[in-house]
Amino acid sequence: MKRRIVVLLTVVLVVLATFVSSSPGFSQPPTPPGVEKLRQDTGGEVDITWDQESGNPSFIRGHIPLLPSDLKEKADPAMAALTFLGRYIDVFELEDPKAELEAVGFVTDELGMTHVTLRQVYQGVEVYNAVMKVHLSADGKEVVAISSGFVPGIALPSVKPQVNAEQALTTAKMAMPEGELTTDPKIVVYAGATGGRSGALARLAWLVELWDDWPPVDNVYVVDATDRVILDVLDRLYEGRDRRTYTADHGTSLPGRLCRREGDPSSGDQDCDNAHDFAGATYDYYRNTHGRDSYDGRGATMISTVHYGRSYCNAFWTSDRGQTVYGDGFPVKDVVAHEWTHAVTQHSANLEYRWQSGALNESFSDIFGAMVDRDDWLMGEGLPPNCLGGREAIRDLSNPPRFGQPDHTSDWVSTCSDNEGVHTNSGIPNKAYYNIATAIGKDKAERIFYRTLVIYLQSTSSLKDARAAALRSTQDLYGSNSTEYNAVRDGFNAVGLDGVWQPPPNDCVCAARTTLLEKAYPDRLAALQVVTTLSRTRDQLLNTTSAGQHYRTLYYRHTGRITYLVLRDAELRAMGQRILHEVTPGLNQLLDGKGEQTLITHEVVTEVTIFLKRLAEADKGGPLAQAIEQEMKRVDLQGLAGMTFEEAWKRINNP
Amino acid sequence: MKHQIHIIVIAVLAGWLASCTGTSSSGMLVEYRRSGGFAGLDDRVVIQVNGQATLTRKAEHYEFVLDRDTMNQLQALFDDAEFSKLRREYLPPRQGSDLFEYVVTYNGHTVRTMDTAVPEALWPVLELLNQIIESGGKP
Repeated sequence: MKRRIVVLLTVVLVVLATFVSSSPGFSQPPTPPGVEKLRQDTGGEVDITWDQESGNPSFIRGHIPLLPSDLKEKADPAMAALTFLGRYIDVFELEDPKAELEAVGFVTDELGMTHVTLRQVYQGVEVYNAVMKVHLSADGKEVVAISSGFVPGIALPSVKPQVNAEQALTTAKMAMPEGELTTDPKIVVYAGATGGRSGALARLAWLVELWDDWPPVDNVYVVDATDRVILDVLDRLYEGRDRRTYTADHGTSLPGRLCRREGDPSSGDQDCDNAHDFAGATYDYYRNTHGRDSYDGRGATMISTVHYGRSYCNAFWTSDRGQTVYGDGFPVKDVVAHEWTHAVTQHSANLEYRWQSGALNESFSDIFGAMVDRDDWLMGEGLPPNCLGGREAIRDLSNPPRFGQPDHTSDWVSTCSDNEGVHTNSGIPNKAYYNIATAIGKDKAERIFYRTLVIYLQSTSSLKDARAAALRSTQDLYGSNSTEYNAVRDGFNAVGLDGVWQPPPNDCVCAARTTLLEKAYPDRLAALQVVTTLSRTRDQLLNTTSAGQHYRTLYYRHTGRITYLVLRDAELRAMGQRILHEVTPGLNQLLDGKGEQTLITHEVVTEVTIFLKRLAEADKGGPLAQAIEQEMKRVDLQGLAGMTFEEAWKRINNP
Repeated sequence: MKHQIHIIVIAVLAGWLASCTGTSSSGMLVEYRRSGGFAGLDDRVVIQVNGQATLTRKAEHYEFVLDRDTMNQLQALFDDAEFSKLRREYLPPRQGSDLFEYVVTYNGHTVRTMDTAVPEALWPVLELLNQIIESGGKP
């Protein structure tokens, strides 16, 4: 009971503090005395963003010169930054930067600029999430920006915890009994969460992180180190970017063994680190460029597994598990972004993964993969050589034919393989995007295409739809009389997507098997029996005689058209299924040498006749219609009625 | 002749299967097809009882002979997997993107499966067949 009251009091205090800090009277923060010096040093050319909670600068932008005394420390950028901050302690309410800040590290970017990260400490104890970053110009002569999360005004009576780590764990476990400890509890100074931080409210606290592997739950419990009260719970899964990276250790069980979580340092396993880091880069891209919080737009944890299988040259997104998976060497930047974009697509347009919508699905993954890995138009150029087979990359958006993709609708590829060519025909919209991006710039192009994907497209959208949707998006963003609008129109036109073009009929016979037999057939087991019978018919009958070969050849010539017509006509499809169902027993008996036991009925012959006539009508005088007409003239179909399957088969082979 | 129209129908119906499953041959031991994936592969290898193999990778075509050890290893892996007892299909409930699809025929029995749904016992078989494809028959 006593604990509850304390928790309640803490909550009230935090609420009050939030109220006070966000009250109208705080909207004009008093200018810290050091700011005037800063203005003088920069000739007034400084832009300051104020943190509403603390009243201190959170971001400073300008050209603040480094003095010779700072530059003495140039060999160590962190020391140079600390010395520099020593001249501006009043700006941030620092007292002694070298005692209050410790270096985490620095990076030098591709422009030569150095970015130093400093962490706030209080009497040697880390202040939770209180970081300053000092950004130095490429020539090292000035500071061009400072990002500050420094919390001033911390005053604790002691930094010696009165609650030990074990007691803190016990307290946290009361809130999450099934949770497992991920790392040892860590002592910090906790000044509140973002949006309500204050040095005056800071407490010495234990961070106790508990998690469940699947489904992933990861909570950090902030336990007061003086009286075992839970001050806060930080939900790591939905705290913005959150990644969990696993290794399958060359097995195939998913997700596998955890190798790196959000906030963890490098694991030392390059694939694990790459998958983790590039998932982060992809998150940052979508967050910063499009305002999207993770692939579902709601901060979902990004789960990856590396070292999947052996000799496994591939990466994929699995909807079942809600994660990406990589074979050895496959977590390279554009591939990782490509896979996560499949997740984005699934949670937005949800483009069906076959035929035209599948090609669009692949194209958006390539496009945003290329926008995350922005320095070229290649996909997969960093993959292991044994997986590239002597090629430089897998695809090239700027030149799709270079790797076997079409770049114009006139070269559209009809194939049954690979979900009806999703990785092949994606070359056409890929090239359209390249045309557009080179005309108006990547920044505008990516904005248009993101809007196209998440706002306007739907599961079965075609390439023509994508063109219309992109034009609509452009109109929304830039107007219909704009340069951008013309560039998008021209970009699509150049690849043959002129608003009229439609692909040739899909002549994929596998569609007949998967859609007609397996998906549309009412009884799945019966469908499989039909499949088996037809396979045997093909191998034992049609392949063994010249007459059978003749009709098989005839079928191959027209298979695409038959499939196309049957799949688009529910009545034809139903008739086809019915005929299959009715002739299967007789065919089986014929195959088993008992063909004389089953008669061909009038009903079947009538239905077959109607089926063929309907098929011919649907073809509207095309080659299939002509072939059917020729065969119907040559034979009297009705004469088959009353014959056994055996008699019919002998007759066909001995006319 | 009048019987031919019925055979047309049978041929039409049977043909629906033909291009999906390929043709069988008395000397054929294994037919393996791997398609899809990030690279949009379409690899097909047919291995005869005597070790002769034909590999097709989109427009590329290779012929080679597998040595006796590889053939023995392959047959042992099929036996270990109890291949003939496997179901015809193992597919994930929802497909995902860039997954490989595998269709394996051995001694007349065909199994179709995809990444994330491959039976554990079948993986060693697929791994060896993948190695055969990657190496193009080269040791």
